[in-house]
Amino acid sequence: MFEKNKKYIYIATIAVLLIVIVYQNNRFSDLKTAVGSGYFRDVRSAIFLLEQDGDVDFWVQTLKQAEGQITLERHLSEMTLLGRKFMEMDGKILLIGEQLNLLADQYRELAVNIHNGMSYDHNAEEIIRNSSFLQKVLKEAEAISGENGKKYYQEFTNTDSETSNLVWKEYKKFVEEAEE
Amino acid sequence: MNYFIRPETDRDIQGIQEVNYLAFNSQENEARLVKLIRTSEYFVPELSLVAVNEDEEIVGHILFSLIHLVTEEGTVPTLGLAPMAVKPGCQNSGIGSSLVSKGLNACKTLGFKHVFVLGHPNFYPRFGFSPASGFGISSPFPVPEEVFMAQELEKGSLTGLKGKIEYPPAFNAVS
Repeated sequence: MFEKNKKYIYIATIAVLLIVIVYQNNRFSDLKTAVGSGYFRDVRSAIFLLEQDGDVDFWVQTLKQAEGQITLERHLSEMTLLGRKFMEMDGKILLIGEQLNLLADQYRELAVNIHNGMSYDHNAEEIIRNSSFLQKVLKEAEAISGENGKKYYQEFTNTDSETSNLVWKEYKKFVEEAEE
Repeated sequence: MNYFIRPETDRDIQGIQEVNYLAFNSQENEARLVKLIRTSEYFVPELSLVAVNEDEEIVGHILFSLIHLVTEEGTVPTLGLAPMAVKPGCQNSGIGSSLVSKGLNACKTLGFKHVFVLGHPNFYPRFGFSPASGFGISSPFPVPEEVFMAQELEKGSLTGLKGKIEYPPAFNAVS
């Protein structure tokens, strides 16, 4: 009896295994899309934050007011939080986080220099340079993956992806210009 | 080349020795330094990070270990970044920068407040390092001021801590 049904048992087992594999693949794919969508949100949030950052003169004027430092700190806490998120990403992408953190530090240095009545022109220049670099890289990264969560996952978890190599290329250019 | 960064495991020890040997022109000093620190009380396992490629081959390594800042008020534990190595052939591809960034992030996560490094004055400032002399802190080695750098992982954590860094005996054994 068993011998007779052996063939059918094998077929049924293989069919069940195939269904499980397909199901697991789908779940894994959904997970990748969800993680990638998180990266997409971080990129969008960073672009939005930097665009809202606007003119350094705005912060110079704000910092000269009584509550200026508090206003700046609110803004910087968001920047630092985003910086931390990028720092947790893989390989070259985390250099975006590094630069976001440095940008926040540059704003704090600007605040200290304004508060102490010292020259702050160099801080303003660094902020503009750093912010422009970040906006350029983030917008290009966004152009590569669009709004596709899965694509974001592929691009942001592979240190040899188009986005990773773009970040590295632009970062190198950015630091070389700074050293000139 | 695709790579990812993670803390070292026991299986990585040989690969780490190799990377440090190859990256420093086949000289054994740095590889020996890593070995000596690993067996000392100054070793922090979570702060020895490796960059591995898809074949699980180690292509880069960075180590942060405990050092001391000696001030007039007392001794403050801090971290020293040394050494950092990337396999020749894989250099200049972002692995070193990724290791430094990821490493500094790990130091912050563990609650350390400052880091010191003796290194290239054009490379480390990219990650927020500045000459330690600016904080009133000097190096135990006779080196130009700009190559001995510090970074506050928590703003203001070095304020008022004037003094001199003291490296563990492992560093003297290889210098």
